[in-house]
Amino acid sequence: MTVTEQFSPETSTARTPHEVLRIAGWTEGPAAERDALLGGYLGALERLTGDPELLGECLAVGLLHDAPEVRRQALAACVRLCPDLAAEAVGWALADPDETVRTPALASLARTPALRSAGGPSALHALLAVLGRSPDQIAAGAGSFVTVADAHALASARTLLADPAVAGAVLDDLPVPLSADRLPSRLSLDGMRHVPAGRLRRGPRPGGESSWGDPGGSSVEEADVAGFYLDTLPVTNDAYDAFVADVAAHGHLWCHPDEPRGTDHTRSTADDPRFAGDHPVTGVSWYDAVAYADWCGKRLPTEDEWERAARGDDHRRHPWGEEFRPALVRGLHTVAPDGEQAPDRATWLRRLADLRGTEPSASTGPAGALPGDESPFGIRDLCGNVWEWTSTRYLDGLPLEPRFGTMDPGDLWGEWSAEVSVRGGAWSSPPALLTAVSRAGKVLTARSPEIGFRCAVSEAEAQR
Amino acid sequence: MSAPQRVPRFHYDGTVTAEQRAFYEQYGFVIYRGVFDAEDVEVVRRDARRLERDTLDGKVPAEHRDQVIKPSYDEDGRATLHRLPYFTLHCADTRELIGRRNLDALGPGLLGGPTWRFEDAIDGAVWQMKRGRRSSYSALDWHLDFPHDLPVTPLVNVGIYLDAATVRNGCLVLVPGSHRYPPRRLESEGLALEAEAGDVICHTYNILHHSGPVLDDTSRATLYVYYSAGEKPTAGTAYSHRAGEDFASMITGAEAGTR
Repeated sequence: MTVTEQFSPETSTARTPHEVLRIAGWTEGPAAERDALLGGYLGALERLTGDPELLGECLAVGLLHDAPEVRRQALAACVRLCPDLAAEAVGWALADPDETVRTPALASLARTPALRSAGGPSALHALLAVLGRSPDQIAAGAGSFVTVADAHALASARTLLADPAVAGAVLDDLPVPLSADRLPSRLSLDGMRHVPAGRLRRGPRPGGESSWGDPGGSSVEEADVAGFYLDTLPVTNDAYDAFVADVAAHGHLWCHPDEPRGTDHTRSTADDPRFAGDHPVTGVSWYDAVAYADWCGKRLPTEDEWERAARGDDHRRHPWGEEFRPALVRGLHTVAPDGEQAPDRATWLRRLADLRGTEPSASTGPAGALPGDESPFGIRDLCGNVWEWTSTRYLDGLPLEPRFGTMDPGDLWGEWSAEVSVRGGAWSSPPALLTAVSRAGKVLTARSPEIGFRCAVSEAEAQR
Repeated sequence: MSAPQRVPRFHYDGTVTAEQRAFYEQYGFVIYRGVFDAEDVEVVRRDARRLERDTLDGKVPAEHRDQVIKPSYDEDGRATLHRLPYFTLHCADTRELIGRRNLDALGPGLLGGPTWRFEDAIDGAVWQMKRGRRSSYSALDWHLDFPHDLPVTPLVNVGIYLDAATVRNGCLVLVPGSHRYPPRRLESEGLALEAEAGDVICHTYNILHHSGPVLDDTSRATLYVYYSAGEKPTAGTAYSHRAGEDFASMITGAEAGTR
């Protein structure tokens, strides 16, 4: 019987000692009053050792109590009087926000073999979630561990990890195997360009050229961007397919923790011959892009990083300068030319609707095929060919930290916090969107033949 | 809650563009930067001071006095009001200013059809003041302004900001898109909308929103003007805020009301 079952409302209170009922009804008051009630409660528990069912019910009263001191004492009594329930109670206490409750629970766990055998796996799961997934890190104790509870948590984790039966069962069951933490870094700065720290003026320049594809002004118009490295070209299909093959060989070692377990990372364009190996990868979700970036020791760029890389210190409208130059960018004028150089939104959408998705030209082109499109920092293909995922939430420009794991993917449509900023425009875009200022929001699970990505590395990350 | 970085601020020149309306329809709100200048803001503030004084002196008809938020009292026992309904009905300068800035074009521009402005019914235009210290009104729980089946809907709430609104002083927080999709999360993620004095924030009547407590010493006032594309009630029809709050509490599980 679990603690929850013990606390079932169907359980009769007729035999419940009055000391237990009194502590259950106590919510606040002087510490002396609480201690007096607590003394009576603990005495009543001692008298119930011959009635395990009622003892469990009465222990649950204390373990679920609002007052930390009552929870702490109930937990100690549970370990002493009722080992069968204690393992689960310790698991509960591990999640207690009050460290004074957590500390004795962790200490009990480490030194009581019966608890380790009964509640060890669930406790180790909780500890790894709190402390990090690497046994090496736990052994070293390096990190933000500053309190007594931290020390007890580390000690308990080490104790549990030393038990092969407990550790084996838990580590095999982790969503992301621990081997990912032990892989040597694949990070290489080859094929990347350095973008020095600088000031970014977001969005179109006041008084400068504008179009219907420009975003509204930002709530914060300027930002400092730290130095970083950015891929010179977008990630290609060949490079991405190598990652997918590695996942097939080694498992899902690099996935974002919020991603549904076992997701097939194969790009949705894999069977379409129009999307050749040297083209920018498309048909990948934001989760796919994050996993790829992690695979090669990198990350997705923030939207500010992307924009600074494209616009340089003079905040230009296109990577190559102010004026739109059709020869430097793969857009709709390239794949379906009709003589109209700058269609308005309605005309452009009509043309897209008329475009048959299976036409040979309606696709990406080779990465880096249009010389002269370099940004001031030597980065290419920033505009056109593919929109590029960033790590930034679209509507407010804050970092995307998805926690949608329990939601049905269909429910993400219309969820503003699931929209990611994509930048640069694609092969299907008109000149109004083929700029370094245009932006759009796409749901992070979307796999589109028009969205790809490139990777970034912070200066600090590059020096490790 | 972190301050947002890239929430779009649009420019209002007396007409609503297709992009602005598309944004409004998708997310349920739109922000216009600097619609009113400092002199304009002072016009409204002056009217507010005069109407508050007249209200406290009993010169405003009883049916035009606020019934929603209790007054606050300073150290000397002097009353200050948090809410002044029928504002433009009693403040000709502000009414003229709204016309001069062509705010009336926001209604049809955002709702896509003829609209009328709340003036002599349902509290009309409403001035509201939030204060942090010694205040009976500092925050407002999650709510909808009006349930969707009221005859006056659809309508747009146009907030004219008379002071800066920040995360620190309890700016408007809403759930973008919640007017189209019911929240699917136990705890919806809100978007904080900061604003400067003179900015205008428009949001739909049925978007889930709240404003947090004033955590600093500032006060902030906003004049809310409403444009409806629904049925126009007869003059003097009373306002009820409970319906929207009760509807919101069904979604959030929270107890609605001011605090």
